[in-house]
Amino acid sequence: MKDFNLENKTKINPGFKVPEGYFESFSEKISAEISSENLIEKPKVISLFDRNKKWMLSMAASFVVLFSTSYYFYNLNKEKSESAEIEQYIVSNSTITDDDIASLLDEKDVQKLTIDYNLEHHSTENIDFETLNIEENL
Amino acid sequence: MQDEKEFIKELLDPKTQNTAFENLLKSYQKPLYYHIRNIVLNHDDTDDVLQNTFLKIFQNLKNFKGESKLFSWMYRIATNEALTFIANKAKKNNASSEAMQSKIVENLPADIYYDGNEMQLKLQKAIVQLPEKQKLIFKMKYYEELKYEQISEILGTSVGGLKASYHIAVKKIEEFIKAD
Repeated sequence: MKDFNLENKTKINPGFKVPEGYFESFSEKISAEISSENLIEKPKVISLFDRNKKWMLSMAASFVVLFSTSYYFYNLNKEKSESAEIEQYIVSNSTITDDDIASLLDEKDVQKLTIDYNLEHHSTENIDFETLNIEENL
Repeated sequence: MQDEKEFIKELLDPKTQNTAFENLLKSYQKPLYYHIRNIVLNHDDTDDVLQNTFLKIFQNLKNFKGESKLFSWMYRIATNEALTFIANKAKKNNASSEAMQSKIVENLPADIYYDGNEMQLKLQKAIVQLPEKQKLIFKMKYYEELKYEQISEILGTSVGGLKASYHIAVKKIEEFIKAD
């Protein structure tokens, strides 16, 4: 074919055939497919428990952590602040006498002091005697 | 087509969605069918690719930002789907995309949905020799009669570049047919 010129020649079509009624059925087919549940965004049905399970568990876990840590620190601070307050009170209220403190001590406290400071009955008694002796010397 | 933004809104609104999509199908199924068919050549393959194209169009409509026209956006999806289809088909057959396309053209006379005459088949054989981009530009311009501006929007190539490519493609095709 020597003098072939595509632009001057009658249009050459691709030569494709389409099955009869193809486009009509294609429209229906694709519309059906699109309205099927896979494509249209329907709200998903998730059981309330399933949906909340993860949340509930993580919330429960964080509450446990939150409460136990805050309880620990609360107690720690409470102890600290209580003893600090008492100390402060004693320092600023110098009118408190040993007798005042002694009156606050019960039998158990006395026993504890005895153990803590390694005080024996007889030694206390000895001291008592000595003081008594001093009194005699006056 | 009516105001595009309005039309896209209708496509996204569940109340108007079905009617709007039917309108979209009516307007675009034929041109997109032939666009895909020109690339994949076989009817059954075209049917598959066209379905995937419309499903993708529908699924991605909510992401369509309107930066390009709906027309060129849909053509881009169709082109991409068709080229991917050819590439996958070639891969399955352990062949290059070029070899695969040549084989499909060779088999065209045996296709029940092809009734091209000698000249029509010769033109197909000439086109398949072209580099990928020239092939695509030639088909879109010559067979589908799209305007350079439209092709430019679809392929993202300048009008000048498209004209040059088309001109080269025509020369190569004429040479091929003359030599035959």
